[in-house]
Amino acid sequence: MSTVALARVTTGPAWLRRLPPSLIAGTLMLAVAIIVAWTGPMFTLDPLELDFSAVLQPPSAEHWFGTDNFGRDIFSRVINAAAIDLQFGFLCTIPTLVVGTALGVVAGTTRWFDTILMRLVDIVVAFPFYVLIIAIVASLGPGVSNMFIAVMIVGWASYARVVRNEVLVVGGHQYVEAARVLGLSSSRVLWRHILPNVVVQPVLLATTNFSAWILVGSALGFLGLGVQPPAPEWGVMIGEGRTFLAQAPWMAILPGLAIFYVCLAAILVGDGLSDVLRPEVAR
Amino acid sequence: MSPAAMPTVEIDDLSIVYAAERGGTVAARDVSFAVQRGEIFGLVGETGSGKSTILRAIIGLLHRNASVTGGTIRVSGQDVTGASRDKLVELRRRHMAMVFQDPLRALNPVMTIGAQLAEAARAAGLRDRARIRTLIIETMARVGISDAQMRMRAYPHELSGGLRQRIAIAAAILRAPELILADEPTTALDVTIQDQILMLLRSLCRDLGMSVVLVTHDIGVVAQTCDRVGVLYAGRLVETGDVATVLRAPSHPYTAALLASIPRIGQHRDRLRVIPGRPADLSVQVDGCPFAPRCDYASGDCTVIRPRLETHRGSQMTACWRHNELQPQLAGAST
Amino acid sequence: MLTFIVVRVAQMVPVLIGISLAMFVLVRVVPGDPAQVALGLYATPEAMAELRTLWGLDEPLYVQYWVFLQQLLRGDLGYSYFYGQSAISLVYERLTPELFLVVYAVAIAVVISVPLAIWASLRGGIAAALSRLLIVFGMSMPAYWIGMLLLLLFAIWWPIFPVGGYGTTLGEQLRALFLPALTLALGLVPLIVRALRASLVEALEADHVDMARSKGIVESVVFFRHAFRPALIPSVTILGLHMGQLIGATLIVEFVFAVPGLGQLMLTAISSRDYPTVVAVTLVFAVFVMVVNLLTDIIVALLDPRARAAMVSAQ
Repeated sequence: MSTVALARVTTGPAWLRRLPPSLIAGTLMLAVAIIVAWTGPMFTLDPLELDFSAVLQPPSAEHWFGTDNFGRDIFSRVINAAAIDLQFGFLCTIPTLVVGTALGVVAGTTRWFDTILMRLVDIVVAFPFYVLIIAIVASLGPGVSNMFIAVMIVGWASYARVVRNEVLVVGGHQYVEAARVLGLSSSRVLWRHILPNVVVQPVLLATTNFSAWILVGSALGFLGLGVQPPAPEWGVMIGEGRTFLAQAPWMAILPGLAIFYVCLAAILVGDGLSDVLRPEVAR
Repeated sequence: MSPAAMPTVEIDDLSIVYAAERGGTVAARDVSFAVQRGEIFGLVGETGSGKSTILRAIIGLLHRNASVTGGTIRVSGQDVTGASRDKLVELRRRHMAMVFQDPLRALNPVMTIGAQLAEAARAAGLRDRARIRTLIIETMARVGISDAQMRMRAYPHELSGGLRQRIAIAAAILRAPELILADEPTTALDVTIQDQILMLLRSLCRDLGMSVVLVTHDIGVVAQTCDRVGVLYAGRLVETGDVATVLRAPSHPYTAALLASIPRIGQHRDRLRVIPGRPADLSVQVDGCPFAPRCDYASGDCTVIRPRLETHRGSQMTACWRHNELQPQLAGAST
Repeated sequence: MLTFIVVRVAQMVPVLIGISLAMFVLVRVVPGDPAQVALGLYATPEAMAELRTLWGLDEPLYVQYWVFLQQLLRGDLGYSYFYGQSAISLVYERLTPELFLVVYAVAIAVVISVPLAIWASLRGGIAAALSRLLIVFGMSMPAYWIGMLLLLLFAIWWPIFPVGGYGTTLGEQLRALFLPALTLALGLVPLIVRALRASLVEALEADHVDMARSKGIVESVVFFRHAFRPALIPSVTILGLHMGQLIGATLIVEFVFAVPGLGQLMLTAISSRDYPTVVAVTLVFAVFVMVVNLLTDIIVALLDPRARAAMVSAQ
């Protein structure tokens, strides 16, 4: 039973009805977010335009989300920030997923590599995640490219561990050794036999990580270590709203809602996918 | 009825249903039997025949989605099916106890054996720690556990399967209940241990005058241990009677088929005798006898009208229209 | 049991050395000249050179590392020019608020999660869906945003709690740290509820619970002694696993609520390039995480005799 099992889809083609509601809901939400991020900026006001005559205005017909301390329209900033934050999510998730999975597969099939890699994974994973990222970004200097470096240094580890465990379950070291005895090349074994069986777990992990990366990116923005102002980014906007929390709470609250929406969508997708791909896991 | 003559367990027309998203399955249907004092009654049937469910209904431990939809259960004259929570607790403390199939899962893994036995003693009303301790040691000796002092401090995972089941039995007889419910007590044990446990149960029953309802899928266990037997098929009792008679001359085709399918040493056959077909689907209610599709002797009436349990030959009961005419074939088939 | 603890403590040492090496490298790799940073924009080249010599920055790297290790073993974690005191004294000052916050957060998390998990395990179907909803929501909200929402609600609009800081008396501290601790706790609650509810539901179906009921034990006792106690164990493990993340979260929460703890120290040290302090705090965090892991293992061993046996035999 998935999260929103209380409401089931009752219309539409049969295959659609069989999908868990959380998957449908999450995918729709995500699709909306992507479309808005892509096309929205064409229709909104200029996110960078300053207007000192309309500073700290509450939401109104003219400014749907109100204005900030520079008179900028918050709604358009939120919409424009969507592209930045979503991109960050995807650009973090996909490389870490690929690299981590690859490393995990190699670890699961090659003994000596396994010992080394798992030691490394232990160290990376045991360390407080945020501290590591913040430390790396701060050392290298704030900015998006440095954020990516930090993400790549840290992000592959959880995939590697998960995939390596799955590979071992499927047969791992013995599998490859046996295949070699039979004369099969190891790459063939990898592609045809091992990979299809171990791909599920990292993909599920990726959906959770997607929202985790968005949270990280915006946290760094909040702290001033990520995307730099005046570029609109949800975390940065919440950080800017902090000083004006009492006078203009909408500055901080609304971008947070955007983050919540996007992360919720990703998690729902992951939840639904998990039900579809691994129905045997008891709920 | 005088207390001595009152049966320990009386079950009348018991029906139990498992609720499900669509419809439900009937786990037991109009089951009736009684167990006298000091008697060991075997309830035998295939997996899914409803035997464990009936047992759990007696002690009020049905699973969440199962419920009694008809009939009554009486233990020592007291009604179980309609009993309140407190009443049930009291019945469990004084009158009945249960032994589960897998003793490793039936014992709390984070409590010592001694603590779990003491808990049973306290529930039965004992308060004095010294007396509880003595009782535990005595009971452990009685079920054949030496070195009770040491065992008391052990945890379940540190003991062997046979020892664990002895502990479970000890916990059951500790309170000297009138009734013991045993749910496949030997299925999870090694074959060599099974024998010991069954013998133990039987001798305890004789010595302490307790009644036992023994649920099993193995007719051999019934032959070895029980006084009387009830044969369950698809949630219905199809035959009851004393063990010797039923095994020698079954009066229901299913019983005969069960007996015939037991491989015997010295048998000259190239194949094992099986009962053709599949176990009944409990979610579908059929007219007529539930065994008819698989019965060698089914006739026209069999698929239309459901046979009721009828007494014959004194205390034997059978639910087959044709048992009289089929007597010779049934008796022959079991040898 | 004692040998187990000693072995584990001994295992921490090489890890700590490894971390110190990593920190050392990280710090030296960074662009920017520490001497410049310390002396400021108007420093003269001579002054900077003198400072570099003083700090041994012109020595080869391995010499620097050796000096660093020696200092470490003496308990000298370096000197913070930003704050004008030794790094270790800085850490010492901030240790109490940090620990207070962390313990407070765990306490609040437990107080919220346990009744919620118990209620959910007894209610059935809908409760399962609700608890998953809780997880999903909890994982989608940024901690700093929740913190600010709480600030808005309970410190600004309805001022029952102070906006931040630490306070001097115990009473003040309990009030000041409540909202930050609650923010941290709200991150933990979904995880604990999910784990505890699942293991409670599993435990309630278990045979040994039915066996206890068959003994005629009252349902409430059955629940706590036979379902709850065994079900606690996986949850304790999960809580222990997430303590590391909790520490990371204190960086952000202390920033939002201006709590003078190690997290805030770390943040300011990083932005002001105060490397000795960064190294010092990192090491303290590492020790903390390892101690928590050890404690978790000990608690699990106390609760579960099977784990105890496994641990002893693994020597």
